[in-house]
Amino acid sequence: MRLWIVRHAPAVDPTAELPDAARALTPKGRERFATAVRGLRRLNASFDLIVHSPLLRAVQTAELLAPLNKGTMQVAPELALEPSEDLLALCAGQSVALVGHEPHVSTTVAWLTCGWESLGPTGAVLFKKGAVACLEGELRPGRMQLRGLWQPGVLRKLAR
Amino acid sequence: MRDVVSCGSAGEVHALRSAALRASVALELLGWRALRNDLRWLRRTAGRLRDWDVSHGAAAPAQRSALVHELQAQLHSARAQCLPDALARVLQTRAPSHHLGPQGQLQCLARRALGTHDPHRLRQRLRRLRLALDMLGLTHDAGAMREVVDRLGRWHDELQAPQSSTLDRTYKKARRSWRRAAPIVRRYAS
Repeated sequence: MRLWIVRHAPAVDPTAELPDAARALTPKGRERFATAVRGLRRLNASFDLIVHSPLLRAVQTAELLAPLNKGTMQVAPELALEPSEDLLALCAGQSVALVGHEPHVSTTVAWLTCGWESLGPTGAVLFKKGAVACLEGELRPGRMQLRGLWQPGVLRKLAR
Repeated sequence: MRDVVSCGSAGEVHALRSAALRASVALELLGWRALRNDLRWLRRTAGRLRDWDVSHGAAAPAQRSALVHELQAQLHSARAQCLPDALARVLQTRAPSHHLGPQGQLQCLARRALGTHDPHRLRQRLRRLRLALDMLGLTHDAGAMREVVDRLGRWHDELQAPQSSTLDRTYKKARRSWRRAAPIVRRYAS
């Protein structure tokens, strides 16, 4: 199967009045990610299922990915947590996109490719906001292969 | 959702399904695709118990109780638990950039209603259109949709009891009200 791991696009900064879960994408972040989605289309990305975290910035990012989706969308609080078997159980399909947050997205990539559960405090995979990784293989820890990791700037260039 | 989790009465299950449908129509009017599958899942999950209530009424309480427990377990799942907050946050934000606008969404809903000849589907699609019209304050046209939806509903319920002597009459009434409402739907579809 093919697994697309997506970090949410840039969101407004947290404030005392604005809870973390309610942080929306910035207009610029939304616009840039919409362009990045066109770049993903150039890579022939398409999904049977988009699973996204319930936090607003992830829901908005998933919404922007919806034009590439041929199947359904599902909210999963597991994506706002450390990667787990529960998360893998949700990935029913041949091409699934997971939209989540750092540090969990880079940990998920490491966990599925190398079987490590933790990469230390900094992480070994650079995942900018709006970046996308593509993994292929059997959906088990350490059994997937990293086929691509595109930072948002690269995806926007692909869209041109 | 909390009421269904604590009690699971037929009225509460109906209220949960209605609230999920209203939220889904609100998301559709606002142009959101996210969370609509989750609301559909919630409606279908509660639908099994609702179907039981419609077909069995107060009979076989032990079997109903098993269905209530099944529904309560689903409502305790992580997916169901995070849904109300996620929905509230999304409904407070601006529409997505691909949004057609309320009139465009209304047109889609009306076209979808005109695109079927199956009475059950027509009823489902008209119900969504009615809710959308209600939300946009177009209550007069919503009333016309309500009449068709109610009459088709009554006919559908009578279908469960084929010995019903009024089945033909109920169907004719539903057809008459649809003939009255169809021009309104066509107006929104064009």
